[in-house]
Formats: sequence, structure tokens, C-alpha cells
Amino acid sequence: MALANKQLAASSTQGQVQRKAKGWTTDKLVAGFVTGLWAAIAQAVFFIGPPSAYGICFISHPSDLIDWIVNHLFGTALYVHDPSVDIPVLTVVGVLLGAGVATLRNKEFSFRMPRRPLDHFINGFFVAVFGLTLGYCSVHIIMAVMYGSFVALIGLMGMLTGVVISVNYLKWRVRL
Amino acid sequence: MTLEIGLATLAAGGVIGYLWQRSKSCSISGYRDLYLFHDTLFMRTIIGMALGALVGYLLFFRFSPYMANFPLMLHNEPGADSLATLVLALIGGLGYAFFSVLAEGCPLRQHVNATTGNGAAIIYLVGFYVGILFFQFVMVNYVNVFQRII
Repeated sequence: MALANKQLAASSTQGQVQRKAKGWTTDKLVAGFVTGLWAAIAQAVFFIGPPSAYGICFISHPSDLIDWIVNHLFGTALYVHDPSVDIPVLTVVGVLLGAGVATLRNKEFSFRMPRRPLDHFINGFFVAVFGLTLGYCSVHIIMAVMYGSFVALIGLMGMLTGVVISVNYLKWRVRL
Repeated sequence: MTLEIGLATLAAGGVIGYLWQRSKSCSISGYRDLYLFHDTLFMRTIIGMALGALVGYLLFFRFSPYMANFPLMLHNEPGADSLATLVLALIGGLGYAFFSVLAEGCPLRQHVNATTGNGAAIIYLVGFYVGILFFQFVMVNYVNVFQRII
């Protein structure tokens, strides 16, 4: 078991090797706290919703944005949540801009291709499909559980089960 | 009002993207590392989110009519109290976490990684947006049928 864990840690198979950050860094707790606080501010001050705790979601916000664009380009009637009917929520664009500025300021940009690109495509595809089935991403679900949503609590239990199954699948794959 | 929402989410997204890039945060690696290595480093993001949301809700719920439900823990969204919704949430959560652990990061982390030139994250995002359109055009019909059956 310990050997499999070590092998799994050493392999870091998907090419996302952790590198030491240059320049100003912040604690994960601070980043998480600001994200959680924004979810409350979005709901209480900017009235973003329904659904509740909709300040940030990386399943529904990308979905709203892409559906809104497709609807306006091709005249389709894909579902968008109420706050995105006229102008879509732009969290995705904001995050890409914010993270892009952070990357450029600290000169961390370096393009690198993964070894097995199809794996990443498949992972992204199924994360979107299952995420939309659930209706929450792993960020939004924390906010929704704190807000008191029972569906989100069930979804979080499903998520924790999924993590356990996935980790054991990875261990099994490394052992082969 | 909707322009306000667009601009507010853009600005908040910018701040969150900057912080998540500088802290290398992830909302799914915390569970994985806790289970696999008993390491709590990435759990700090998840604990931070929970604390931030709780503090924010406690601060704001008295002033905002949009948060009238907050003190009533374990409520349901209107129309989201059927067995089908719970089963879909369970299956969706399971599949989401399974593939997120394989991808080594949640969608927010992948968006942040893509800006650093990480080809794996860029290809993940292509699959992610194709997956969204696949769900909206194809899968949504099956989900509706499932909700009608149960």
C-alpha cells in the first residue's frame, strides 16, 4: 500500500508538476475564504440567483456563458439560469483574466504539451457531463451546503464517494 | 441590473482567479490528498471556502431579503425536492469527483492552469466545453425522462 502511494505521488502522471511559485504568493485558506465570502456577497448584495449561493460555480457559469453565446449565434433555446438571461455571468472571463495577469506579472507562462492529450479531453468531457447532472461544481457545492441545501449535501456525499473510488482506481492502475 | 451582475462577476472572477493562481488552490485535491496521503495542505482551500461562506451568510442574512432561507438549514430549492433530483445529485457527484481526481484538479483549477500555458489544462477545457454542449443538446433529454419516470 505504501509503495503504491509513493509510486502514485512520484508519477504525477498528468503532467501537472508542481513548481515553486515565484513572487508574491498567498495562503490557500485566504483564497478559499475570499471565494466563500464572494458567494455570500453575490447573493446578499448583488441578488445573484436563483439558484442560491450562485456567486461562483465552475459548472453552471461556463454552461450559462457558452449556452448564451450559442443561443445568440444560432437561435437555439439552450437553458440558462435566471441571472444570465440578458447578460451572462462573466466569472469565467474574470478568472481567466485574473489568473492571466498573475501569470504574466510573475513570468510563469510556459507552454507544455501533455503526453496523452486524449485522456485530458475525456476527463474534461465527463466532468462537464456529470457536473451538469449534479448541477454544482466542487466550489459551489461547499457554498450550497453552508447555505443549507439538502440536494448539495447529497451531491457532496456522492463526490466524496467518487474521490475514494477514483483514488483506489489510480492505486490499482499504478500497481499493474 | 443584469449589467451590474455581469460586471460584478467579472471583477470578482478577476480577484478569485488572481488569488487561486498565486495560492495554487484546488477544490478537489483536498479530499484526494486527505484520503491518499493524510495531507491537509489542499484542504485549507475547502475549509477557507466553508468559513468564508458561513461568515458571509451570517453577516448578510439579516439585511438581505434574498437570504431569507438561510437559517432554515437543509431546505430545498423549489422544484428540487424529488427523489430523482437526489439520485441525479448522487450519480453526478460521484462521476464529477471520479473524473476530477483523474484530471488532477477541479474545473476552476483547470481554468487557472490553462492561463499558465499548461497544455493538459487547455485540452481539458476543450473537452469540458464540448461536454457542456453535449449535455445541453443530448443528455438533457434523458435527464428529463429520468425525472419523469421516478
